[in-house]
Amino acid sequence: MRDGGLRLTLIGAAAMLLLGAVYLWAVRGPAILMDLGNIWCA
Amino acid sequence: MMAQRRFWIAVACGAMVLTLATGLRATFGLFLKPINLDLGISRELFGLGIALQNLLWGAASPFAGAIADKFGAGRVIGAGALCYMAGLAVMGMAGGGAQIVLGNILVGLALSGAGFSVVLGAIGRAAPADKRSAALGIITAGGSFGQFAMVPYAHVLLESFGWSAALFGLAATAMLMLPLSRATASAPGAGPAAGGQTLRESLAEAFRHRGFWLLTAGFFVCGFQLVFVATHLPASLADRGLPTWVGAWTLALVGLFNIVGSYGCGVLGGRYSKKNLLSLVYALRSLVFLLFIILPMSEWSVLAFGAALGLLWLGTVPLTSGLIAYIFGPAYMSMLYGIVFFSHQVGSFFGAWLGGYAYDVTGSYDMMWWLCVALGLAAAALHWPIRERPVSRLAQTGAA
Repeated sequence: MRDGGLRLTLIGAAAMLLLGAVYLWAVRGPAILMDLGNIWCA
Repeated sequence: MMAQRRFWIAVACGAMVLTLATGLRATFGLFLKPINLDLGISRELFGLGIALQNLLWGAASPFAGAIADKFGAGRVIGAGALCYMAGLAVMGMAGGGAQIVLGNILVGLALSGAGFSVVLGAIGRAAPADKRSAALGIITAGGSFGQFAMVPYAHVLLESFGWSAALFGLAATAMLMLPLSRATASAPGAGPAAGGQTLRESLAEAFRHRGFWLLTAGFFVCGFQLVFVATHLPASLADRGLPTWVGAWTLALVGLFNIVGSYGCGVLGGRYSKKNLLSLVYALRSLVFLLFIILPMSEWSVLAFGAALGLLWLGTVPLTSGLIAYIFGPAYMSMLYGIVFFSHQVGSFFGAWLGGYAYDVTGSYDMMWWLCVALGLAAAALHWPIRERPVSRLAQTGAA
């Protein structure tokens, strides 16, 4: 694998992880925020 | 080319170690309510556990850093990972408050081994001088990403399996740090400090340097501001009549923009003066706090506050650690950053505690917000006079 290939692989992996996290937030976000909001502001 | 490839793989693995190490602990707030309901453990005791975790993380960091600098980062990160797993497992088996506190103590110790100082030091040593700041930025962005990404992951585990099994699930996730620790420490040059200065000489040199004390004092402010906001912002907003979701979304935005800010500050630190950038970051934080205080408050203004603060959140980490490596050389970077980081954690303690105390005494957080403005300006002034050049020992050898 050439150096450019490695860079692309790492950037791709990071982008997929970020997308996964954003997806999780989109799906679970309201429930999490409600839970955390209730804890912090109780 | 081969060495360069191994270096960037080590950077990616180091970033993932921090994703796990700082991300897993960021999920603990989610466990407060179910553990409170199930075991009847008070919020105060739960909070004491987290406070002890933070203080131990700071207090043990210089020692873990020194061991890593002298004997190699891989084993220290690996030991930290094992300690992390043990801490999460102890909490998962908890039948009372003592295990929750003990678990937090173990996690605090674990973070000193598998946290910022040791990983930044390993990568700082391995990095070519011109790529060091960007690499430290990537590592820090990994930690920032963890704080953002691990919360929904833990929420899935918590809702699917309950708090106890979820903590064991997190312990199993922490196991990933073991192979990653080997890869992080395997970068050419990441090994123990070889030849030249001894650990004692390095300490004496740093303690004689005015810039080291200025960095240490400045990093106190970082910890103070961050933990005050993370702990007290949602309650502060609720006091002003904003709905509870605003506080939580604001902190989520802080987490998201923090990824960009951490990486961006690392890249900028490779091109411009790091101490000037640190002064700028702290001055901008003061400006953001000031606008938060004086502008009319709405849902949107608070969300914008979260985004702006997120950009300035952990950007101080690659700049502060990069400055240490630049001035003193990277050989004992983990130990020296560990000492500066201890000041950060003392600041964290006061940010959390003083926020609550000031609220109890004055009935509002106003004094604390103004204190954040004043401390930010003080930190900007503290960083400005730092002499940003390698110590004479390095200047003579040209090894900076």
